[in-house]
Amino acid sequence: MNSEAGTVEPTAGPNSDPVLVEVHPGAGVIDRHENVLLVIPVVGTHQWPQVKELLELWHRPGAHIPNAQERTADALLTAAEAGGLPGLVLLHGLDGDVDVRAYGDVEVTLDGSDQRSFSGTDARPWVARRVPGSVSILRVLAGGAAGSTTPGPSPFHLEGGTVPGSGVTLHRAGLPPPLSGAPQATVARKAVTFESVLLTDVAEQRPPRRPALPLEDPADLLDVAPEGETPEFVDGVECPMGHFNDPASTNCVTCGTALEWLPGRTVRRPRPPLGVLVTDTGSVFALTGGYVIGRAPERDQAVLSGRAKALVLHDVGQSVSRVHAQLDVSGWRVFVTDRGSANGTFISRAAQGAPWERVRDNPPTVFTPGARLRIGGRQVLFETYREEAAGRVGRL
Amino acid sequence: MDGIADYVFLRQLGQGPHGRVQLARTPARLAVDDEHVAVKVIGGATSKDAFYRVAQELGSIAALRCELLARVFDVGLHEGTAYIAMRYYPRGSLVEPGMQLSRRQRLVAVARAARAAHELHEAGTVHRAIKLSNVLLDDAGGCLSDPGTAQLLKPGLTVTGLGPSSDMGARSELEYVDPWLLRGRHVGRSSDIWSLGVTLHAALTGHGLYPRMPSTDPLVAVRLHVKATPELDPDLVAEERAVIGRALHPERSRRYRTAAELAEDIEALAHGG
Repeated sequence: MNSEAGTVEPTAGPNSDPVLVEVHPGAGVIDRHENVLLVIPVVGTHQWPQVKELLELWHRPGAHIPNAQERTADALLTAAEAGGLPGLVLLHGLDGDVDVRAYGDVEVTLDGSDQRSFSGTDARPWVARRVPGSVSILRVLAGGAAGSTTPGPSPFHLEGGTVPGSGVTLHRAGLPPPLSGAPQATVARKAVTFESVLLTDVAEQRPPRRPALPLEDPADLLDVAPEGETPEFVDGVECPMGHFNDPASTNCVTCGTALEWLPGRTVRRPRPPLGVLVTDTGSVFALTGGYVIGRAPERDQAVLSGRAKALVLHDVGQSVSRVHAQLDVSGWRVFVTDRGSANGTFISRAAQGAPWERVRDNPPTVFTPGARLRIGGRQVLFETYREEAAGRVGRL
Repeated sequence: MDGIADYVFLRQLGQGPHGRVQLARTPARLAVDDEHVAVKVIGGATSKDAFYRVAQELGSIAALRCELLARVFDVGLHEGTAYIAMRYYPRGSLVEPGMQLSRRQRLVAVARAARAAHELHEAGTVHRAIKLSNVLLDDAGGCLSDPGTAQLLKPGLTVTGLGPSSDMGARSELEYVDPWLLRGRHVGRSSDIWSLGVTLHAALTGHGLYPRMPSTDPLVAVRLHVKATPELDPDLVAEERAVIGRALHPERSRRYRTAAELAEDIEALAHGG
């Protein structure tokens, strides 16, 4: 709900002209959810608890998906019938037409013509009409209020949500502004529901300030896990410069110095990143732990539990399964398994042009630096950018 | 797409690797005087968790109230698509300035971006996306756009793909990335300082630091990039080379310790040269 002056916005079917909704000022309730309007022109003091209940029913999650909408509307009107509620109208934009259900003492006027008006009391329990798109102006007001006065513009927008009002007028777009003095309506479109975090007043809330970044990069002193990740400790060896290495390496991965590995010299430290994953579109992911790879891996249990990160690969032909393959890091090694994908996971070891082998899930396949994975129509490369990477391939 | 949430799009302002930026009318609920805002629509679906991470991160940055940082008004999620609404800078960025800029004006803008990065570092945040197109021009001489949020949407992500870029050709996005990150190292002050060095070079010369990539295969391009050595424009004067060279030093420990120190040297270039 906004406090800016305005008459605005729409109920529009997919192939129809947009419809502008003008709210008339008053003490009733106008509610808009998606392309459905609920109009209660007059609410007596004793009726507020029922109206509140009605709105809660109306706002129930899922109440507005097409089939449920029908049922909710029925439930709403049945509740109205039973509970002595005020008159109300439901307006539902449908492919250019407007589906109208009127209950109780409310009046719906089409194109300003008394002959084409109807009341919610014309039939029991309610009146249902489909108003065609040829009708330019549809007005809903309390019974007896129609034609008595020209309603002025309300100060409320109706993008979505609930505002006070005594009625609404729907205008086909393209007509001149309905009321002199009414603010110009914006381009009409379907009402929206969305989440928003306003940052304009956040400074007043003053969230706790984080500590400053260290002046020296942690990686230059000691390899540590990225912020927010629990480090996994591994045994390794240090080169003379103090860089931490896989005991199986023959040369330091950072400076290239030959490693003379002695059993007594292993140290236990957080595992450094083992390299990066490069996708065929050039995205680079740090290989600090496991990944679930697929078209939609975010809801996979391994990702939800925090054991692995999600690596999303889109492709046009949907050759990538939602959850396609998984990488697990254990010690200094990376394993790849197929997660029951439709098209399988393939690995090509070392250089380009090496034959593709199918990845089995038992036992897991070792994913070595320099190797590529083929996942549907996409590829992922394990890169370390180390000179000796190719030499390591055969050893693991 | 003609809008998102309650934003009505007027025209497209640009397209980055993560989505489009649109000019939109300012909804009244923002309660700001600006007639228009720039709305960045994040491509692809965004989960609620990822959305909350982005909102929290940008919220803590907005709370800094740093005038060197572009103002972010609103972060939202509409039917699985996330958007970020921020101040619209009609004068554009250093990559597409709305007016002719002098060398000094360009240097002042980069220096202000470096100071902004320092403010973020002091508040525990790495920007991750400093580049020419993210140095925006305002009355005060320039400011730095909102920090990169791609890694919040996709944990582990270091480089966001060689998508279309407005700066210096397809591989320019890669130039701004500290090669250490491509070796799996973590971000920090020094990785932003690298990006500032590349930005400074581009602001002074109008082109990038690397020769054209011989391969269009991103898998090959990333590999070649890591092995390539940046080449400074030979027309740069010694003082300029010294500043850029220190920001881009291959050893992170020999770069500027802080972005504020880099900003001071850029300011000296602006006022001396």
